[in-house]
Amino acid sequence: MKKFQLGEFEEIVMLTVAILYDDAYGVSIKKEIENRLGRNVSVGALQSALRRLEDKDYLASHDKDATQERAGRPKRYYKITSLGKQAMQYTKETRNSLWDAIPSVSLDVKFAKLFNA
Amino acid sequence: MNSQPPKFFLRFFRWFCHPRLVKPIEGDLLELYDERVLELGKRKADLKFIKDVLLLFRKDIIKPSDGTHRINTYGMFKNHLKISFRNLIKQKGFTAINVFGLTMSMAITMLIILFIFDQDRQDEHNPNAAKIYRVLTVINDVDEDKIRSYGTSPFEINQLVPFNVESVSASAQLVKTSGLLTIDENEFQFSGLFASPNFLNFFHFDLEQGNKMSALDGENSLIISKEMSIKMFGENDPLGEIITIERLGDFIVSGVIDKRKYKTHLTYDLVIPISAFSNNAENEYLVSDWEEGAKVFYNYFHLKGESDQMLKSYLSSLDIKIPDAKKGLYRFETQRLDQINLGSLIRNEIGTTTPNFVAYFFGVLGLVLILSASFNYMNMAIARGLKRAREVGVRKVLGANRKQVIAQFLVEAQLVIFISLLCAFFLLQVLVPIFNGLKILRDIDGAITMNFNSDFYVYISFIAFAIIIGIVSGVYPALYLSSFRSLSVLKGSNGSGRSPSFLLRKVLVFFQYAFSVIFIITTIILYQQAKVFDTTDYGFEHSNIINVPKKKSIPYETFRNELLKKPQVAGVSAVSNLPVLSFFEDVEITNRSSERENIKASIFSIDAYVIENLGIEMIAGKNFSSRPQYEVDHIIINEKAMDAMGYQNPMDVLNKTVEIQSIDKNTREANTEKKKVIGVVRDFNYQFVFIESGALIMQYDPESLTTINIKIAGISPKQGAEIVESVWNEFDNNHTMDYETYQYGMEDINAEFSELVNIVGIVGFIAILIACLGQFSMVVHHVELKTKEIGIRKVLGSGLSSLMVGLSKGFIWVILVAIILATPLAVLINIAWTSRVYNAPEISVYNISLGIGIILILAVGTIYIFVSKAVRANPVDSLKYE
Repeated sequence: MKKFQLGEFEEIVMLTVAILYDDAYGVSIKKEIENRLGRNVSVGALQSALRRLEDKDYLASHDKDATQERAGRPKRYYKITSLGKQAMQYTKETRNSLWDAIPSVSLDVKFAKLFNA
Repeated sequence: MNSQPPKFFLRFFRWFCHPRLVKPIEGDLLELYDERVLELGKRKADLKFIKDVLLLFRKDIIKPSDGTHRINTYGMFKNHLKISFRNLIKQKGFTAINVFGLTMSMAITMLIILFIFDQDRQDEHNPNAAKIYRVLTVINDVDEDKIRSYGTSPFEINQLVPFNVESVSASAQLVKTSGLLTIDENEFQFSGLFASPNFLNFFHFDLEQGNKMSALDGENSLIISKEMSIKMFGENDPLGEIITIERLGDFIVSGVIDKRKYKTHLTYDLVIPISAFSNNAENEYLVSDWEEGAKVFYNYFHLKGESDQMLKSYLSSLDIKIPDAKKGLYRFETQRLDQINLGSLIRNEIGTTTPNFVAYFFGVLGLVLILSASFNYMNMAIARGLKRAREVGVRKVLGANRKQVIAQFLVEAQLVIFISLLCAFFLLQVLVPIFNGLKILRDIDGAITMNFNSDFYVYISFIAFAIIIGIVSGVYPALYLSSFRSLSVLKGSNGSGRSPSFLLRKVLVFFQYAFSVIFIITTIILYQQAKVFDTTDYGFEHSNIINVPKKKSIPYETFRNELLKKPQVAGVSAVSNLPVLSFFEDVEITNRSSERENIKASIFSIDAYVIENLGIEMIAGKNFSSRPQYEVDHIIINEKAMDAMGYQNPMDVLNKTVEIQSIDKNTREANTEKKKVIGVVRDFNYQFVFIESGALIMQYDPESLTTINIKIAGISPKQGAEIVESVWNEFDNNHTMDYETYQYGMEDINAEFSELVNIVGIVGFIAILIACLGQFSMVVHHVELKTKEIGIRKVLGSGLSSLMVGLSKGFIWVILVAIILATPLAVLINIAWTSRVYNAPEISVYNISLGIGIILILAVGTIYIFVSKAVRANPVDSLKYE
């Protein structure tokens, strides 16, 4: 049963929001992902993912800090909700249980080569 | 800080972005932009900014297309619809009654709209229709004190106008004609037009065959309609064939036109160049004389612009051309091509048109039905509303304002109307073929052509029409129901802040019954008229007669003798006009010896066998002998002619000389002949029953006989026709015989009238049905209000009958007022038509009281059923109610 739905990029965003804790807003999330994973993130893709996560109630948001450097625009900060935490937990556990279920031999590259030959 | 991101893209972003997101995201974008400007320079930062904006253009970010502020109303609307549906389903009976009434009346009204739209389309295929004007002549008839418009105008108008009016760019002239034409000794009746050579271009007709540019150029060329071509030549190519037209000579077919492709005010089988008419010496006086010509020529002008001001002012100056004696009595007016159909009644019309009053009549009929049905909706919505008072109360407590409650009830009305519209639309698909099959439409080219593509605006108008009905029927209930006060409703009282305007609802029911009374009395009288038709004895034999056209290829006398050899043939005769089935020519007769002058009479020609064969009774004198040379100067008259000539006794009129003045159909010259009366016959109806058969003269003229009447005995008409055909084929094997039984012809005419009776009957039935349903809703509502009262009265010892009277008094009163006021109106309407009809049924007390009786029984029956149910209910239940 699909209890929690979390796509790959969505999961990365969730994790990053969790890492940033109190400082998770659009630009900081984007930079964090780019720095940590070395992949380019467009504002559009990020905002769209944030929207979806908010709709699923995994993230909550609030506006604050209308700073001068942003021409008076507020920053929207994101926080993980308890539902979001459960979803992350669930995803992690399913991954782990799958990892655990892999017989050690199937990842042994030597054997794999032998089978292919 | 100094550099600004590309303005256009920033604005674009603000435009498409969901308003809830626009500020924080814009903040992010600006922050990133500022950083990038420092890091990468302005150009690259701009490019990245643009890329970001474009990548933001995606589903989750874009605002909903209908704007955020509307989201709430949409939700409300959805809620209204849902509640409406639930209510309709909960109250199945009311919904069914409303949908039924509305469906019926809407389908009929839509049919009428379709018919009128369709008629209005006449000549619309012509792109210049708004620039083509026809000149009308308005004649003030001093003798009869009437002003009449004629579609015709003098010949010279066509010559003068193009020279004197600058704004005229083209003109066309037409003359109506009819007669006989011959192809290889085969005769055909035709009606046609003489037309200017530019006829096809002017009226925008294309030819099926032949050259459009030159088809009417030759003096002896002519265009025929496709129907006529099939009638005359079958499947053969008609181009180049020679047609001989009586009095005009030979013509060569140069074009074929498919008339079915055009809806136009012109009707014709052939089009002949007008030179054949105006160059004919016989017509010279029509060309030169303004008074005579004013009733002959149809003049059309194509103007450069749409304004006919110049044409009008020139026409008003043409007064000088009119002879002094008639000055001031003649006036010329203009009429736009696309306004000819559904315009005012024009005499001398060139083809068949539907005058505007017919459209008005149908329109009123539809309006009455639709009003009746929407009155029902109003009544029922209010009746139901009392049950829903609590709903309104709860809505208001929960914060709905009055507007929203009104919207709820309007949506409900609209929903019922749209369900009905859908049903009506399906019903319409059934009604249109039935309507198109009506015989009364045959003569006016009235069949509706339904075409979903080109009739787009018709369907749009249906929807607009439905919305209007929805508003009309929904607005009062909505206003009334929304006025409930939530506090008193929730306390449990009836809830109405104001009393439900009972008077208004009584007025609605009053109108429904008034319409019903008018419909039912009219239907009864029409029905009696139909009965008159069925039972009238025409006074001559027509049940066993087969009529066959008399052709030149068949020598009549030998054909007759051959037929009489067959044992099944009882008699054979020939006439020039068939009594009842064809029009009779009018003449004026003068009898010098009794000093009676200019008596109007009808005349037709017979042979020596007609009187015996058609069973006409001879009351004095003798029949024609079979030797024409002795009978040329003899006539036989009927009793009415005898009376008009001033004789009481048939013997006295015998051998008297009469002068017969007739006007030649073609030359319009009067000529007088002296004839001697040799016999008198009993009056018989030679006209259809609703026209008076007056004085009649029968003359002996073998040349003008057109139809052979064959009387058969002991066999069916079909077998008879086969026998006649076998004899026919001995004479002429090339042409098949056309025949019609006399009886069929008579019934065909009757059928048209029965149709009219049926239409009015059905519409009347629907109107009455709707009224009864309305009555039903009123009673139900009323009884519901009084449930407790009835219970208390019963407990206190009130009798059944006094309760019934008390409850139904109000309704009976409304019905009685409706009957009293509507009956005189119904009588007036019926007098208006019966006074124009000969042999019309009497508007008797019996007929009127029959109508009133039916209405009373239906209405009182409806009231009785529901009131008695309420009165008989156990008072304990009534008291526990609510």
